[in-house]
Amino acid sequence: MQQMITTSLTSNQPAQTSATNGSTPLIRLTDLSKIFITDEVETHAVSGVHLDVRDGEYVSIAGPSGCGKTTLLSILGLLDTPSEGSYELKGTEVANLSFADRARIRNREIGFIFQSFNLIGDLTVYENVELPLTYRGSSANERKSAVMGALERVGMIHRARHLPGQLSGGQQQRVAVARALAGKPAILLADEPTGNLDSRNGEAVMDLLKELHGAGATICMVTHDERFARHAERAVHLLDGQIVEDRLAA
Amino acid sequence: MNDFRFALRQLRKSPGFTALAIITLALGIGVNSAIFALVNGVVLRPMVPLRPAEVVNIFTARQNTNHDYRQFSHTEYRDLRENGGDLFTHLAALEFAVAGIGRDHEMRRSFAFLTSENFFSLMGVQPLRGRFYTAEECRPNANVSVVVASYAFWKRMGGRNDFVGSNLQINGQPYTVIGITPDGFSGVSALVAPDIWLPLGVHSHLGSAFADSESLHDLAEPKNYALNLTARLRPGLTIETAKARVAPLTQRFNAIQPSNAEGARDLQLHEPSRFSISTSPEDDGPVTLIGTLLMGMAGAVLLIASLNLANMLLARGTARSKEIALRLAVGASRWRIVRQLLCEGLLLAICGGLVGLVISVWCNDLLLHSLARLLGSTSFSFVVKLRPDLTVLGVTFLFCLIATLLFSLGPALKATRADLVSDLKQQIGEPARIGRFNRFFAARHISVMAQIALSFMLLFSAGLFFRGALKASGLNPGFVAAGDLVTEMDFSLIKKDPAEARRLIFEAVRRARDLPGVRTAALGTMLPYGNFTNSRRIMSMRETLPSDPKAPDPGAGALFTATTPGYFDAIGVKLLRGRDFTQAEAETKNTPRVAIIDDEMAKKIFPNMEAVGQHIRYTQPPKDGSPNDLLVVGVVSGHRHDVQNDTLNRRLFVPLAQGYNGNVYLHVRLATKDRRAVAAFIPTMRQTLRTIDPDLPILSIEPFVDLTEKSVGLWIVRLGALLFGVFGAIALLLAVVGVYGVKAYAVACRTREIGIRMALGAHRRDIFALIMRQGAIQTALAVTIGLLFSLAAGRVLARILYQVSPSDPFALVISGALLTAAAMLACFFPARRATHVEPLKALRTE
Repeated sequence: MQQMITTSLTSNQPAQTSATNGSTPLIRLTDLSKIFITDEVETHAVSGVHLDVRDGEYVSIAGPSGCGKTTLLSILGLLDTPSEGSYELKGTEVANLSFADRARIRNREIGFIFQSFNLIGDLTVYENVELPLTYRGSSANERKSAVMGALERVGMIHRARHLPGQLSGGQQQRVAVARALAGKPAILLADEPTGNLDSRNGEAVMDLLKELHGAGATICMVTHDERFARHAERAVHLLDGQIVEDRLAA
Repeated sequence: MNDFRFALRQLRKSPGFTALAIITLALGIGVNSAIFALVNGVVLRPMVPLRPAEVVNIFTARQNTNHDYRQFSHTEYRDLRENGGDLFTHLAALEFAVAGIGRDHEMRRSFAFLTSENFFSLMGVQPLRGRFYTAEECRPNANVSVVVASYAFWKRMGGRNDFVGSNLQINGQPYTVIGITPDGFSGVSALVAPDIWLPLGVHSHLGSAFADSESLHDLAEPKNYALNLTARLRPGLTIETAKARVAPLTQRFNAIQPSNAEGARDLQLHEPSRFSISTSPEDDGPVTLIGTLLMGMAGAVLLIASLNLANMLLARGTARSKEIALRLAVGASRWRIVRQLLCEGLLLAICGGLVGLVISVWCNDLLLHSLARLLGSTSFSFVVKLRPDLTVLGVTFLFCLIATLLFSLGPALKATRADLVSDLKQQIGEPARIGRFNRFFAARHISVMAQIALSFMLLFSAGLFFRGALKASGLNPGFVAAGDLVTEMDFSLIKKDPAEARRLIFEAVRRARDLPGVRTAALGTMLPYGNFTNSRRIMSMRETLPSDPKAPDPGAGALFTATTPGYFDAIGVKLLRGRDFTQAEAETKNTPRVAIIDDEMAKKIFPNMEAVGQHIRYTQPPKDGSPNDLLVVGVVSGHRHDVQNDTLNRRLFVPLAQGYNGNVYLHVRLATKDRRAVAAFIPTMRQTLRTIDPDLPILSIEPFVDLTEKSVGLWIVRLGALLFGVFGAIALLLAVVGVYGVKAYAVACRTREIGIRMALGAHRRDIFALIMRQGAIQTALAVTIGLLFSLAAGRVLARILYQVSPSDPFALVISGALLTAAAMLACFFPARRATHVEPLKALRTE
C-alpha cells in the first residue's frame, strides 16, 4: 500500500517522513551520525540523518561514490553501529545492541542482497538459501519449505543442487535474493544489487525486486545508477553523508 | 647464481617465515643427521679397514648342531693356518683378556687382546708409530714382554712422543710399548676396543678373562681351548662359496682331535659380529633392525617437517600469487619460476641442514657423554665416533635435497599454475574450488592430516618404548639390590697366587660379616645385571650325549657363578630346597663336586622329579681334568641377569674353589635398605679391606642399586624410550604448529565467508563450532589413519620391544588423546580468532 509522504530537503532539518496513516514506521533514524577516526582525522561518513521507512516501502538510496550510502545501509543492516543518534527498528531501539543481539535481529528481521552476491562457494544453492534458517534454529521441515518457497519465487528451484560457481552472475544474484527472502525478514537491504551484472541480468534482478515489492516486501536499495533508482517508489539522495533529497518517484 | 641471490633477498624480506622454516627443517634434518651419524658409526662404518667383506670368523660346534661351541687350541690354530691356504690368505688367532695397567692404587683394569702376529696384516692396518709384534714374540710361552697400545689409550696416557719405547706396568710386570695402532682401529667390534694388544706368547703371564681356570696357562697344551680365529678369504671367494668348500678342512680338523674327544665337530664360517665379542656366533640382526627403525622414524620426522613447510610455502605461494603472475605475464617461463622457487627451498634446506647438523652434533655429544658415563666403570674403550665425517655431511646434504623436493616442488608447481587475470587483481581467499569435499581434502589439509597420522605413529612408538622402560625399571629382578653394597675385585690383575687370593677373599668376607650394621656377606664370580656373562652347558648324568648328531641336545645352557656360603642370603635370593655350600666346599678344591641350580634349570633338566640329590655334568668336560660329576645339593629361586630377556636365565652355582677366576664381587648386605646409608658405608668397607691387604685389587665399591641402574640393557631400553620420545615430541610439536598454521591460514582465507555467515545472523558460537568441527573431523580422520600406521609400526617394533604388546592399548589411547588434544588446541586459537571477525570488514574483502 503506497503512503503519501512529505520530505525535508536539508539534513539538519528533521527529514522524517510522516505517514498519512500515522502508524509507527518500520525504521526510524533520528539524528544519526557515523564518524570514522583514523590518524587523528575525523571522517563524517553519515551526518545527522533523519529517516523513516514504513512497512512496504521501496526506497532507493543514491548518491555519488563516498557519499555514505553503503555506511548508511550497513547501519540499517546492523552490520555497523552509529556513532551518534537513534535507530529504531519496529519501534525498538537497536543502535547500541550487543553483538549477539544484533546477530539475532539480522537473522530474523533483515535480508541482505550484496553487490557481489556473497554466496558461499562450497555450499549448494539450497544450502546457501538455507543458511540463515540454520542459524535461526528452524526445524528441517520448516527450512525445506521456506527454502523451496524462496527458490520458487526467484525461479531458481531447478538449480537447487548446483554450486554457485556453476551459475551465471544473474542466477547467483537471484539465489542471493532467495536467501534474503527465505527467512521472511521485515526488510530487504540491497547494496548495489546490479553492480556486478550486465544490463540484461541487472534489469532482470530489478524486475524481481519490483515483483517482491509488489507482493508487499519492504526494500531499501543502495544504487548509484539512476536507471535502477527509478524502480523504487521513493528516492533518497545522499551527499557528503547528509540526505539532500528525499522524494517520491515520478 | 641470480636465482640464489634473489632467493636470499626474498628470504631476508620475511625473517619470521624464514626463521620458522629453518627451525622446522633444522629439527627434521637434525634428527636425521644425528641418527644417521649414529647408524653410520655403529652399523655402517666398516670395522675392518681393508676389504671388510673378505673377513670371517671361524667357530667350531658339535657336528651338525649349533651348540657346544668352544674356542680353539693353539695346535688347532696352527694346523688350520698351515692347511687353510685354499680358503684363506690369512688366519689369525686372538684371545680376549683383561689386564691391570699401572701400579697399586692407580691401576686401571683394561680390556686387552692377545693376538697372533698376522692379525694386524689380516685387518690391513699399519702401526701409527713403532711396530707390531713378530711371529717369534707370538710363539707359545715366548714371554717377550712387549705391548702395542691403542690410539685412545696412548692419548689417554698423555699422547707423549716418547710413549713408544716406554714401559707399562701390566699385571704387575713391566712391558715395553713397541707400537701404537691407528686411530679408530678396534679389531673385532664396532663399539668397543681394547686398550692394549699383546702377543700370544705372553698368554701364560696374563690368564684370560673368559677362562675360569687357574691352570692351563700353557698355550701349547692341546686341550687349552683359548683362541678365537678370524680369517681373510682368498680373493674371489665369498662366505657362501667358502662354506661350501670348508669340508676338507673340517675333516683335517677332526683328524687332529685328541683320541678322547667327544664326537666330531664342524667348522663354521660367520661374518664377524659388529656388536658382541663372543666365543660363539652372534646375530647382529636386532641392532641392525633398531638402526633401520631409527632411520625410518627419523625419516617420518623429516617428512612431517617437510609437509609442514610445504604448507607454509603453499600459503606463501598464495600470498605471492600476484608477484608470480606478474613474472609469468611479462614472459617468464613456468620452469624459470619453478627453478626460482626451488632455489628458495634449497637455500632454506641448506640453512636448516646447517643448523640441524649443529643440533645433531650436540645431541650425539650428549649421547656419547651418557655412554661414557655408563661405561666409565668398565674396562672398555668406546670407539664409536659420532662426529660428522664426509659420509654424514654428504647424507645430510642429501636430506636437504630430499626435503627441498618434498616441501617445495609441489607448492612451486601449484604457485606457477596461475590464473593470471585473477591473480593480477590479487583476489585474496580460497581459490575458486568447487565443493566442501574438495576444500576438506585440499592439499594443505591432506598434508596436515598426514602430519597428524605420522605424529600419532611416532608418539605411539615412543609410548611403547616408555612403557618398556617403565616396566624394565620397575621389574622384579628376583634378587634384592637395595641394602647390598658390592665390591668388585680382580685378583688376576695382581697375579696373586690363587690359594693366597682365596685366603684373602675369605678373610674379606669374614671381616665384612663382623662389621656393625652388616647382616651378611658373601661373594660370587658374576654380578646379576653386570656386563659380563659366563656360561656353561650342563646335563643330567642320567642322560648320555646322543650318537645321532641331529638328535635334540639333552643339556641346557646356564649362567655360571662360583660362590661362597651365604651368597643367596646376601643377594636376596631364596634357597627353595636342599642346602647352601659349606665353608669347606667353598675353600677346598678337592672336595666332592657339588652344585646348586635355580628352579628354572631344575624344571628344565629334571622335569617331574626332585633335583636335589641328582647328578649333573658339563657337556664340555672341565679343561683342567677335574671330575665331571656334580651333586645337586640345593635349588634356589630364579633371578634375572638383565632386563632384556623375557625369560629368566637358568643358573648354575658351584663353590668358589671349584670355579674361581680371579674376578669376584663381594656382596655385603646391610641392615638398612636406604641407598644413602649404603653409600655412606663405602669408606668403612674400603678401610676394612685395606687393613686386610693394602694391595687388594679393588676396582669399585658401589651400592648394588647404582650398579643395576648402570646396566647396559636398562640403558638401551631407556635410550630407546628417549630417542623415540624425542621423535614423538618433535613430531607432536611440528604437527601442532602445522595444524595451527593451516587453520590460521584457512580462517584468514575464509574471512569473507565468515563475514557472510555473520551478516546472515550466525552467532560467534556458530562460527567457533564451524572451524572446530572441521578441525575435529580432519583430526579424527588423521588419527584413524595414524592408528593403522601405529599398529603396523608396532608389529615391526615387536621384535625389540621390552615386555610390551605391540598394540598396547594404553599407549594407543594416551598417544591418540594427546595428539587429538594438541590438534584441537591448535584449532582453538584460529577458531576463536574467527569469532572476532568484523562482518562489515570481512564483506569488504574482495
